[in-house]
Amino acid sequence: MTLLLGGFRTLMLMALSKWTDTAVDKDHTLSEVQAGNQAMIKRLYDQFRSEFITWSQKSYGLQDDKAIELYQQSFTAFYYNVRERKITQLESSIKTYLFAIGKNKIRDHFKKSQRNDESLDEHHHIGVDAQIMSKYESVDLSSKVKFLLNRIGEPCQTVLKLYYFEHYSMESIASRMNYKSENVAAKRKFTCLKQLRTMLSQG
Amino acid sequence: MEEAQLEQIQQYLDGHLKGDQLIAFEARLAEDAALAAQVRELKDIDLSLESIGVDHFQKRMEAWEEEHVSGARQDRSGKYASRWAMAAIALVLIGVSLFILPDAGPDGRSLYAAYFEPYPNLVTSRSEEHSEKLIAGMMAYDNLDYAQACTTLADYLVEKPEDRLAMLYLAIGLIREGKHEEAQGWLDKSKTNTLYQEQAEWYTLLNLLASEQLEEAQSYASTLLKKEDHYKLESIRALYDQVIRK
Repeated sequence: MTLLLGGFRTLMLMALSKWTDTAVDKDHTLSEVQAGNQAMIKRLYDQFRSEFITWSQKSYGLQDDKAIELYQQSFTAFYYNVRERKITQLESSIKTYLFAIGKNKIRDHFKKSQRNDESLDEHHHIGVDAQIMSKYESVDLSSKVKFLLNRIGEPCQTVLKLYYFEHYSMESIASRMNYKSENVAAKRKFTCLKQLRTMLSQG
Repeated sequence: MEEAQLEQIQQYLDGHLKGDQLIAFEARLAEDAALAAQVRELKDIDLSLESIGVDHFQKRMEAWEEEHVSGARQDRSGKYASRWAMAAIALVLIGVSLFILPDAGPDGRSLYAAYFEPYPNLVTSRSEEHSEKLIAGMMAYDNLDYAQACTTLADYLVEKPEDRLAMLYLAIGLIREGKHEEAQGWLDKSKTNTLYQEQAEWYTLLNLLASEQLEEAQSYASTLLKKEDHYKLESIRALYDQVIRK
């Protein structure tokens, strides 16, 4: 039974992989990710996970934990590059793009551990932005803001989380929060940011 | 900082200033050191919120990883079960019935992890008006932030003590937080509404497993199996069989 279920799951994943990588549906998938479709994002995460881990273990000898960590870093970079519209169309497949980010991440990992791997250099030309976290490195307010976000109260907490965590549009925030229009949602977000700024200035 | 200026800076940071407005703003920005400092201040808040969002996304991936780990555990326990079954058949065939092989079945916690799935959010998917506390609680629940969900839903239930559906979500959050007794209290209350009775029963069974009360779980599953149209009948049967093998 387990084998049957396993086989069925593999077939479904193969079918899904084929579906998400066709030229037409690839753009649809990217636009769904861009719109914050969490089911689609999780599906993509699940779809490429095993293959990425096996590939990184066989090709670069990574341990389980490190392979998972680098997959998560690569997937985060992929997700934010799509969310921030750094990519809206792909000439290659989603898998090729994700694995190219992965190669950059693995190269960075080996650089840190002083290992030179020629097999990684051959992918040097692939231009992908894998440094999603670098722009946050200079920000030292995060822990204060996180603390205050838990104390700002409603509806500000939810509005700010929907905007900054879930990347909802103002229209979606208005619908979720029962506001009359996206302008009301935008005004509310502005008021909440102002409140957060005041709280920060009060120490 | 004047309200209008603050609003314009925020529009600039959100990328909403276009054309001439953008050119004029950037020209001011290049010359006005005070304005540049205000932009930096608001940009820092923006970036902080974004970076907390990245952390939040990474936590969500950790939860997805947990699903993979518990799925793999279930696969492994299934494989072990098949092997034991084959061994048992072989033993019967050769007429050896003097020894009973010990069963290496999973513990209650593993069974719970293999079968647990959060009950879908039926609250905010409905287009009716909800209290802000309920919306916030369900959002935390959707984001698998169960500690926050429990706090907010408990707060909400002080205002709306009769909301049996909110009780169910609170109980599920408490199970995830390892607060089994408290969870059971809310499940018992939630069961009193026939609409959510079966869901509350299913999570009661999982709660018993999560707290390693295996005898109680077996007895409870046996009672539930008498309800032939229970929405979780197949899973209850599968769990019952696995608990018995313990």
